[in-house]
Amino acid sequence: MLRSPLLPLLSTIALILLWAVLAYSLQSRYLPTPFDVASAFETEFTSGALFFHLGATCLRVLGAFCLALLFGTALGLALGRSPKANLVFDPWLIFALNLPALVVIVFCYLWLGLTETAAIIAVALNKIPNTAVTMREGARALDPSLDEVAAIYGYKGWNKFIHFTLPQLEPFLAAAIRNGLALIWKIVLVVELIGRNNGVGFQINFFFAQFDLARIMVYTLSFMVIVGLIEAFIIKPWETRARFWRGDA
Amino acid sequence: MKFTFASKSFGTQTILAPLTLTLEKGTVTALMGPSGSGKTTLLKMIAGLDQDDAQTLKKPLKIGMMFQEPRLLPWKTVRENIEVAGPVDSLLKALDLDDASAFYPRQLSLGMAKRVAFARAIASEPELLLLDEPFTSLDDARVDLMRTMISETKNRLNIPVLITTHDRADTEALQADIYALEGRPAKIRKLIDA
Repeated sequence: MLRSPLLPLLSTIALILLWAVLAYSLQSRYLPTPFDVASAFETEFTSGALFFHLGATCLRVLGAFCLALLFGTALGLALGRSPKANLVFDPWLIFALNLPALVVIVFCYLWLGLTETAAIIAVALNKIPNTAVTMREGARALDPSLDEVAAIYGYKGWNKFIHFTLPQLEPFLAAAIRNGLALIWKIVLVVELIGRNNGVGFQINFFFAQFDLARIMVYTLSFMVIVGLIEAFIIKPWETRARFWRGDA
Repeated sequence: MKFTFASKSFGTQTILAPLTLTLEKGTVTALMGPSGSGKTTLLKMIAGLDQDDAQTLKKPLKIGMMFQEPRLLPWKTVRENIEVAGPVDSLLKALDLDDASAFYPRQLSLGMAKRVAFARAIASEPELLLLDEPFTSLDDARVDLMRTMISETKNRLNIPVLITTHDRADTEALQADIYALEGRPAKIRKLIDA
């Protein structure tokens, strides 16, 4: 009987084997072999280009992620706690949710120029509505009976937020962070492709023009590994700790 | 300690008539009355958690309050839940909770959870202790333990204690003055002086 932690590893190995079999049997320029990709990885790694472009993308992801989380959480909590504010601003939120990411990016570049600020704001603006919707649900799920406990023992403001509100919001925050990370890094690639001269998106566009699929895969897979590591070593442990008291960790 | 309130309504229905309640330091006062007579509402008004129809919002004192449900914070352990209000000190041992100090509320029986809620209510060393049906879901031994703790706290801190209960045995054991909420809207009436 296979132990369950081994299954994801075996599944990944099976996927790589399937890719290798397909690539070697097709011998097509449209599907590089694992060896081609490994060789391209070595070149990009030793030249330092891989780190430079991954670093640029990571910084943009981090900036946009922090902005989106901060403003999305604040907006979501305000809407979730105030039915009147929700009534007024819900149509705005629906409009923002349905606004194509590309349109937001183009407008930001047109208004703010082809700058780093414009790139980060464009990504954050795309993510803020999603975060706000998730956190609005979190705010609606807050237990009002615990507000009374907080009032009795004199918990107000930041102290109340840390001891009473935040633990109740953690599952929603975890969902917002996980979905945010998945969405933001994809939008960052588009932003880089359109208006930056470095980063993974820029490199993918560059190698697309050269029809170099191996290098496109190097940059894509490298960034996916980084996102996977963040998920495995930061988000998952935090979520496990946050859920421990529920008994479902 | 004198509390005066105007009437209290929910929507078009008036639950409580205007009332005055005086609580003496170092005494237990029991509030009795049928379910829905407004006992909990009155406790909340005294605690400053609710307002009467004249929008009187009172919170004059440091209050310790035990709600009908334990209302523990599920993400904190027993010890941490008590520490929300004040130092734990000897409370865990006194309430027979020292073996459960690292437990989370989901791991507690209702009776244990109520004892933790009681410990939290007295941990703050309040100037007024409000206990809303503190003895429900407790076995006889624990009821005795809680009654002893209430009396001990009342004497040690020299504070008034106001409890709601349906059981005359509680009021006798605590040597409590008894008030009743009767009628609709409920009027308060003193039944027995301890």
